Amino acid sequence: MFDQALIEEALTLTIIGLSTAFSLLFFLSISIWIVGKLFADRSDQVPEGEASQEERNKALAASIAVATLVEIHENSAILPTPVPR
Amino acid sequence: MVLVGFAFMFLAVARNMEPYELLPIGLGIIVVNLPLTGMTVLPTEAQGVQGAGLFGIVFHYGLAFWNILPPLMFLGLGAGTDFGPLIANPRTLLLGAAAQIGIFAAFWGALATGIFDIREAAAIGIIGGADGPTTIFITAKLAPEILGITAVIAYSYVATVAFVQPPIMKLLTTENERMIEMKPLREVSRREKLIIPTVILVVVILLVPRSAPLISMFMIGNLLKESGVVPRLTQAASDVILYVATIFLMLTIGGQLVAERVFEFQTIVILGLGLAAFSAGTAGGVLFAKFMNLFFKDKINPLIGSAGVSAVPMAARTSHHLGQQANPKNFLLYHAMGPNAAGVIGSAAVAGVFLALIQG
Repeated sequence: MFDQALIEEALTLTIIGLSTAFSLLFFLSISIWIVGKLFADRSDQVPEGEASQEERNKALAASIAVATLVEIHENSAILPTPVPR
Repeated sequence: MVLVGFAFMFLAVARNMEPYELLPIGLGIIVVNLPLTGMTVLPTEAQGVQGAGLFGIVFHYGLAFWNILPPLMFLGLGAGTDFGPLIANPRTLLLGAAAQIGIFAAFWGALATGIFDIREAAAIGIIGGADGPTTIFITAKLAPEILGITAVIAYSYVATVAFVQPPIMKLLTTENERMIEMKPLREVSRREKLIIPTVILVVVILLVPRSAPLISMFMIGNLLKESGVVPRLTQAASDVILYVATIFLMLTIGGQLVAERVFEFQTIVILGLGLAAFSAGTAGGVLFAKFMNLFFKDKINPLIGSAGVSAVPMAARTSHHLGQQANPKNFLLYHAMGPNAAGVIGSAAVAGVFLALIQG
């Protein structure tokens, strides 16, 4: 079906094409990672071991929820207890 | 063929299927298939442009001879692209490389049929990149005789991403893999958005110089946008230039679709090979994401691998929808835009390799 020269040419194209795509994009991903390390906004980055802004927000939301529940629970003592039906 | 033109118009207008491409293509088909218009007569050395038809002139100078329309479209696409997701998670660039497997699957498939020579096989293979302007750019250079067919098939598959990709993505992933939640991406600084397109521009052109017309225009468009100092140029590139180029490109492609070219056995074969290319590219991206998960602690949802076939932004949307079906807390759209942009760079690089090695 194929002649030898065609197979060789097609194989060369495939190997060079795929290896170019992978090596190029791999090199670019490394370059982007390095540029990110050098030029990313430091203000956004959180040192390891410290809570991120999102984690702090979650903790704040949890503490507000607990405080609200405690408040409701304390107030419920002076409210009539609902009668189960 | 006039009926085919009307069918394209119907799909664009009534079904809203890729209207920006299918409507002008349909109109082009109708015009050139009416008798005695002479619209597609090409300029000749003897007569120059005097005896040529309008679509013939646009085809010759816009595509076959100067080939400036696809790079102009890349300028506009670059001006509308956000590299933020790719910069925030550079690992996803590799998914854009893996999805190029589809190009070579269709390339070998086309050669195996024995119908196509190596130039035509390369042009058909590029359909697997799911990148319309790149397909047109390569086909106009390597195999202009099948330009209309490959362009229409490329855009048709781009339009049907939402139907073609999901079964393959579901077949190759487990429910647990589809449920993987990815961490929100970090904010990307303006400096990064200015430096990285410049780095990509220089590196890609140094490594694959023949991809320069596409890559340089893409990055120039993007740098106009990211500079923030030339909003009118950015708007001109992403609006006026992009849409003017689209009108002429699509009308000209429609003008290539005459009955004797369309109703051929090889058209059906190209249709099948295009589907194979697109499917293989999708599978390549998904499987490579699973492969990467063997080495990384922060797992990648394999669904975003399919976005490596370009098809901006439909492939990314498909990843997002499937991710949401599996886990409503999954927001993959922004993550999938990384491989989407990488796919554009990857397919342009492969196109450059084809041009360098085949055209010489």
